[in-house]
Formats: sequence, C-alpha cells, structure tokens
Amino acid sequence: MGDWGVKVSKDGKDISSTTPEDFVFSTKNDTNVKIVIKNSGTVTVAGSGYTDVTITHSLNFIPVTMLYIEKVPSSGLWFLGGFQADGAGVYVDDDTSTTYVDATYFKFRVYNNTSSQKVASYYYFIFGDSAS
Amino acid sequence: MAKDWGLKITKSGVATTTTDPRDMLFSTKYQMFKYHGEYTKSLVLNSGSSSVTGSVAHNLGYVPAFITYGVRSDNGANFIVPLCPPHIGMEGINACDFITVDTWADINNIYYEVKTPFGTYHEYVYQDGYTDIDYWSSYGGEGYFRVGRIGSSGKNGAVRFTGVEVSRTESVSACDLSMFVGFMTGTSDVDHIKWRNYGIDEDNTSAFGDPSGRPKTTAMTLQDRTVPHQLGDYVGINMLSQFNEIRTRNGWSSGNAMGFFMQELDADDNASFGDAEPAYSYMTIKKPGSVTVSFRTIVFKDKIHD
Repeated sequence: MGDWGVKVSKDGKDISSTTPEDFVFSTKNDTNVKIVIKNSGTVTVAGSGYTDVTITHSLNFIPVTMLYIEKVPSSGLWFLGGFQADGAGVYVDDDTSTTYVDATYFKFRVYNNTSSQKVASYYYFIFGDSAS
Repeated sequence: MAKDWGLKITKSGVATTTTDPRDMLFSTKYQMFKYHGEYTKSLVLNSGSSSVTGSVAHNLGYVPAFITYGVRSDNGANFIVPLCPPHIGMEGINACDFITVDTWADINNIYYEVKTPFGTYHEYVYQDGYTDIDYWSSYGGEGYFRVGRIGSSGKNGAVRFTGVEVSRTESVSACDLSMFVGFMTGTSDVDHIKWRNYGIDEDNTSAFGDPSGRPKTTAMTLQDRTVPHQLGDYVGINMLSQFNEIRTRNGWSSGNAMGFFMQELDADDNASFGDAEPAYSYMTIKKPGSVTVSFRTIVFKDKIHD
C-alpha cells in the first residue's frame, strides 16, 4: 500500500520530517480534531437554583465536547468547564447524572451560587471524534 | 444552486462518500482548531498562603478557546483543567496539601489560580503503615500491637515508623497516629481503655525485638477512650509533643526511624484493641512546605466571545 496523504509542515520545517509537532496539518494524524458543531447560548438560572441545558447533536455516537462558561455574567472571564463553585455567579454541576454527553445529547446543569437570578453565557464545541 | 463542494480525505478503507466524521482524516466541511500558541506559567503556593494567581498575555483581543494542562511539583501528578472534582492532594484528617487549580481567559490574558480551601498550605507527610511500620506488644510480642487490659493483666504496645522525612529545623504542627483496629476485647462504645503515650527517646530507634526497655520521652499524654465501635475502625492518637521532642534531638536526621509507646493504665476496664502486621495503621505529619504547579496552556485562534 502506498504512502499517500496530505501534509503541511510548519515554516522552516522539512516536509520529510517524521516529527508530528513539525506539521501544521497531516492526514497521517489519526484523527485530526474536527469541529462538527459550535455554538453559543445563554441560560437563565433563578437565585440559588439550577437550570438544565440540553443540546441535541444527533451524531449517533458519543462525541468529544468542550464547554466554556462566563461564570459571572458580563465579567468577560471565561472558564473551561466552570465546575468550581466559588465566585459570585454560576457554576456547572460536576455530577455525571446531570452533566454528560450521550449519542444524542450534550447536557449540563448550571447552578446559581447567588440569591439573585443570573443569565449566564456559554459556548461549546462538539467534535467529530468518539469520546468512548 | 448550492454545490456540494470541498475536499475530503477518509481513513484507509473508507469510501469518500461516508458522512460519518469519525471516518474522515480531513474535511473542509468541518473546521479544525487553529493553533495560536502555547503559554506556560508556574505558580508557587507557599506555607502561610491560601492562594496564588498569575497570568500570561495571549494578545488576541477576543476570548479564545483554550485548554490547560498542569503538573504538581511534589508528587508529579499531571492533570487537565478543569479537574472534576476540581482538586488534587490528600483528603485526610488535616487536608493541608489539598489544593484546587483553575484557569480562565478574557480578551487579553489566560489566568491561573492555585488555592487551598482549608486554610494556609502545609505539606502533609504520610507514613504508610503497610510498608514502614513495626509493631510490638507485651501481649503478642514483635509483629503485634495491643494496648489495654486482658483479665488482670495490662498490655502495652509500641509502634515504629521508618523513613520519617522531617528535619530537625522544620516546625511540625500536627502528628497523628491512626491505629487500625484489627482485633479488640471488651464492650464496644462502653468499656474504657486508658493509657499513656510516650515517644521512644532515641535518634533512630532500631527495628523492634522487645523495645520496652528503651528510653521514653519526657513528653507524655494521657488517653482515655471507649472500645472501638467495630473492627476496621481507626483509633486516633495525637503524638505532636512526643514527635517534636524526638525531632529536636541533636542526633535526629530526616529519614530516621521514630517510635512510640502506649503504656496501659491500671484504672481501665477489661478491654483492649490492637492489630498485627502487615498493618493498615499510619502516621500523618503536618509541616510547612510549598507546592509549585506548572501550567501549560494551548490557545487556539477560535473565538468563543468578543
């Protein structure tokens, strides 16, 4: 079988390199991370309450996902995951019964760590690669 | 009319007509993260501090997607942020080296934080009884530990830990023995066991034969407790004053062995507890220390917010 494919090396790196870090892109990397879905949203959470967010991806496999959340609304500070409950805002539940991904949905629960209603912004990526 | 255009490269043996993204090595239908740069930051959480923060500039002018990895200096534990649950370290009786880590981003910087939710940071030295321990008892001899009274006869115990990594000059603020209950006599939660706690007043006490004749520390504490509730429980013993008396001996060196006596008092009930080697008992020591957490963040050009 031939040595086929496409590869693009970094500036100053030889195309014949066998070091993966030398490449901007290579089809030899099994697999390159593909963003199938990316989107943003907001979630309204009552004071001291929680709200469940459900994103339907319908990929029929369990995909790798990433979630960013602005824990304190309008703060401009964005956390990957956002599981820590400190701060005057919201946080994402780390309980796997409420925050998980399956073959159809990406779900997460957002808790409000304050007594007043919060509207939190989030951003997520769903990749075309299996998480399990 | 919209055209189905683009470039697609599939895995070996998979038709290019596939619609399953897992089969594709590359497809212009799907974006991929665009690498912006890697950034590193090391934060040192010192004794007496409960948190430390730092940042690096990514200079993108918008909030980018990013992912952060880290490694903890004292035990080499590698992790990815976010941790779930978001902590690393011992979760024991003092929880003093229990730290949380987090990172976040804004339009200018990546931020890092290391903190402890249980007061100021201390190093937590754990002496594993299963590998580092010697037992002795006047009841079973070497290899056994027992303290209390069996019939009319008082039973004394001793325990020795090897490789105690504390220097003469370090300020130890807690030393707790957790003695595993492998056997017991008397009525649980009712009968009393009373004893005196001593240290073995030697620089590097040797392996047990019969250590009962070895010198005792001036430091002594009285203990009075009921028979443990059940087998498998642990009996806690505060040995701080005894530990510090041995640690400050002129001949003490880090890594030496340290021993303790538990001498039964005549006034207790007909009750005892004990264990046999190999032991599940352990010793924990709380002392000043620091931890360095080294972060590495990969920042992508992909925007998640303005």
